[in-house]
Amino acid sequence: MSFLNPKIDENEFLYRAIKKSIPNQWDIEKNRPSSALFKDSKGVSVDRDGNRNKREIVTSFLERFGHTELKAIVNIRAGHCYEKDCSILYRPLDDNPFHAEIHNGNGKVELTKGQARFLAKNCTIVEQYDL
Amino acid sequence: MIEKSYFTPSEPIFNPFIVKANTSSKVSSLWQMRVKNRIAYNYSSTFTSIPQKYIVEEKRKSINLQKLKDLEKLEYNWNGNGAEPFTTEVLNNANYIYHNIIREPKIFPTGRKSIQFEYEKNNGDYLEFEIFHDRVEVYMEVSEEEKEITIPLINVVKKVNEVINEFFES
Repeated sequence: MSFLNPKIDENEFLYRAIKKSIPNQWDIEKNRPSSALFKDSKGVSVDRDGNRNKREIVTSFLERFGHTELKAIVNIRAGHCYEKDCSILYRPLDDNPFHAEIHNGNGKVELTKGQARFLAKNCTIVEQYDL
Repeated sequence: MIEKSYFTPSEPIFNPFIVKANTSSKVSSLWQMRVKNRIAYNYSSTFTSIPQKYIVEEKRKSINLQKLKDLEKLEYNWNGNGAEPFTTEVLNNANYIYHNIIREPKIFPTGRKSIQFEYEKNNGDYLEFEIFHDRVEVYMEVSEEEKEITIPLINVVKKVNEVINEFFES
């Protein structure tokens, strides 16, 4: 299923959930995610906003991950990804038509350390749970 | 004693008089670095209030020891995006490096089979070690300049401690 424009505009926001694993990827001292959140061998899995409001997006994450399973939800503007030469691939799933992946942009899946650090520094906290 | 309440049993309590007497004997370089890092703490805990940074350092240590144990228990999909459990090699490398480095890092799991140790100064300068099964990758941002190197596992602790020293002395 694909009903969004595959080309993601720089002003669109991408949302990522941080699961409440122990340990997890949240930096308690800085109250923001570690760059480790953006280091993923499968690509950084995110949800496009797809013209939804924040409440709808948060509800969608909570329904998929479980209401007690999340540490936080953060978002990053697509323009920040492009600024570091990342590519954003629209990859809708059967159960999530808003799914996309942030890749290296150099033909590789995994982000560089500099890209991961930049995204961690520039993302915004949308929701925090039990911190 | 004041010191006892802030050191774990694995961390010998520093006595400046004993160390002075032993400086010519066999004192490991790691021990010397730890002494250097803690001397101000011990003096000030004896004569003045305890500096915040040493309390933070001890608090981190207790968190880190628990984190290293918990990393072993992470199961498939611990991050909700299909991340796999950590291999014994990666866990062993992380434990070995952690127990031999000269400063307490912040420790995080990644979704690419690596464990990350981080340091950050108040001015935003940043240092990370990404520990894999066969190597350690280093990323450093100092005065907004980026630098990356890879350290093989041979002599890894010596190299890692050199990088930490270089970072905190710059």
